[in-house]
Amino acid sequence: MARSRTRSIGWVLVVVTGALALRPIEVLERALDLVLLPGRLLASLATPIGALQAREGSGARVRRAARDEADIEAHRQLEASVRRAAWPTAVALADGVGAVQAEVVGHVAGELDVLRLAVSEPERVHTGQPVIAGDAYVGTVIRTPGREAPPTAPSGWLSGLAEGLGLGARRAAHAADEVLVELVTAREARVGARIDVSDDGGPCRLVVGGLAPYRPGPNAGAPLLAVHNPERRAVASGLVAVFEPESLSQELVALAHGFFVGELRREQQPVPGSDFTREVLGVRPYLDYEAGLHQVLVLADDGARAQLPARDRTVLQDGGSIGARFFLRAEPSPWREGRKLDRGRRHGVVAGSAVTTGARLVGRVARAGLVMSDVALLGDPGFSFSALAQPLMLSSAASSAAPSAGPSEGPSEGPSEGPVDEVLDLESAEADPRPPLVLGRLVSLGRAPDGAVRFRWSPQRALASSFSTQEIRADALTVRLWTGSGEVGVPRGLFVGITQLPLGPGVHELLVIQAEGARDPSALTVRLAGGSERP
Amino acid sequence: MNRLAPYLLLAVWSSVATVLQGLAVEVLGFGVFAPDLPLFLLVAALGQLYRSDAVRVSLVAGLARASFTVEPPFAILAGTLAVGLVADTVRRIADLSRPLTRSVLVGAAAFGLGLWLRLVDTDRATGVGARDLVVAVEVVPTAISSALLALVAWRAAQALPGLRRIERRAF
Repeated sequence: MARSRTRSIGWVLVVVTGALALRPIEVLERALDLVLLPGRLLASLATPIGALQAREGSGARVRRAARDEADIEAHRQLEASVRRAAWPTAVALADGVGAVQAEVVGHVAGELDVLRLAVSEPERVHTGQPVIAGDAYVGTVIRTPGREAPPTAPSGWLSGLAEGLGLGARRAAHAADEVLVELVTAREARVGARIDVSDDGGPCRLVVGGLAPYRPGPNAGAPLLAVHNPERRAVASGLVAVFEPESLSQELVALAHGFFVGELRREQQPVPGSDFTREVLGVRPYLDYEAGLHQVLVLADDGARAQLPARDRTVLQDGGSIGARFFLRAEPSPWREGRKLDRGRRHGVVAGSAVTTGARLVGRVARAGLVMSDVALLGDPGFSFSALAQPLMLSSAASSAAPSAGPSEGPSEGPSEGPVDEVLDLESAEADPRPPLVLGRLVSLGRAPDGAVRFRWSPQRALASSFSTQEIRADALTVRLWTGSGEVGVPRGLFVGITQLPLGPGVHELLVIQAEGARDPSALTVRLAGGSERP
Repeated sequence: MNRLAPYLLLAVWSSVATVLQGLAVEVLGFGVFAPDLPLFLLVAALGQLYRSDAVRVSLVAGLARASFTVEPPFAILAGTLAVGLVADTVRRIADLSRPLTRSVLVGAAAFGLGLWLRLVDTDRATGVGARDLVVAVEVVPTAISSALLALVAWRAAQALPGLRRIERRAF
């Protein structure tokens, strides 16, 4: 009888824990982390094995120091390049229009349409000001939480105990320079726009905002922005730009008059739940609003140019990281690539924090425990990051050593053509000084047999038009990959590796040769919450 | 207190098995061909213990394993508990010490647990389709090597210090 009851309890536990594995509840995961603490402390006994695996000779230390120095210089150049890219080139700022530099910190949790920015001059930013990136319109400032009163802490011994154990609800904390921006993709967002030369001859005014009806699927492209009240129904294509002249609009959005929104498209979209398609009129945006925004400008009516504070120290030297160690350099699950880290929430680590060696990305914290964390390495399937790419200026001999990429229209099979040691020489190749390419999100599919990491890349548009035929080898471009902005805990400008970008349309599989020393690092740091870089 | 020491020893052996598996997978380069050592140890322990201990033994083994891997802890617990209960059910109708039975049971358990963990990973990974991750064929080598290990190392696993103390209390 007792045995039967125990078995029943066992099966109930299987169902409950199985459900919690598939639909995690944060507070219960934190509670289980406390239960696992003794076992995890036992795991720390394996540290000497990890230390032996990562033993580094004096020669290697010298080489690493030189590599770190070179990385910092490359990081500075990338940073300057990204900041330059935020300025418009085709659209001129009107007289009296000023700009404030801002780095994208991330999206508000659960709200993809609200962007968090860290602005360089918070006192110049107010609600209603428009935001641009290059020549494209992004959205408007809706809040400046950095200037609002901080949330009050809950009182009582129970709340204090729960917080002490890391089980309490996290209170939102805002940096003084934080600003929230509603993207033009938001359901309620609206901006006046115009097509100057439409396919039927004359200009056509319309309103853009929110997303057009969209059904995600393997053949679906990026969502279109919704079009409201077009002046003429027959219009089908053309370049859409913000049309909010000062003579008509009293709002601050008039400062963004003339900035591009995207291209008007009339597309066939599948109807959810059926085999039919329907025609949708929408705007194909110029930007990847989810993972393609890194540095933006907030337009102001004070006419002042953006002030860029002197930035002698890069994110690698800003004190936003702490040293860390892996316990054991071996993951029992053969299909995962992960590590246990000796730092947790108590030390300021949060889920998503970047784990680095120098300026090179090693992995990201997948789960932050109280005193230890789980780290997903680059080769862990599902690992993802927002990416920037810097084309390399290569000789033909060097470019032939670069890793090959998969073909268009679906992932490729098979290993890279280039030998790894030859490819690593590419790390020192000179980078194109032009603004880096914004790739959006790359998702790891695991490691290829030759050690390269397979990443899935779904570009919004083919890159072919961005380069002349002399600049590219065959149908791909050799690039240096960096982390972009927009994710809490991952600073912009961490070196990821070398790959070849296919220039054609479609979903691609990239074979990325990881940065030297990042696969089996001897010295580690982990980014801390609030250590996010500021412009 | 009398029972605490053997359960602690079981946790230690499960931890050692998990560490050894990690080393076999990455350092020795066995990859998917490495047997699932902690799972094998769990089934071997269950083969000789009093049956009402199955849930407790599975929980201890699951907690120890979850301490050393980046797999979600709840997924590990659900998987090891299910393996423990299935092994207990098989034990009602068959003798686990027979080579074919233990070999098939350990192989099937390794296959099932591997598939379950892959399913959870797929569910949690953003932007990766199920077809990219849930590849049953990757779990097969682990299942086969685990079954072979059960064939040759069963007695050795059951003779590990401490495990017999749980058994002695039982009878």
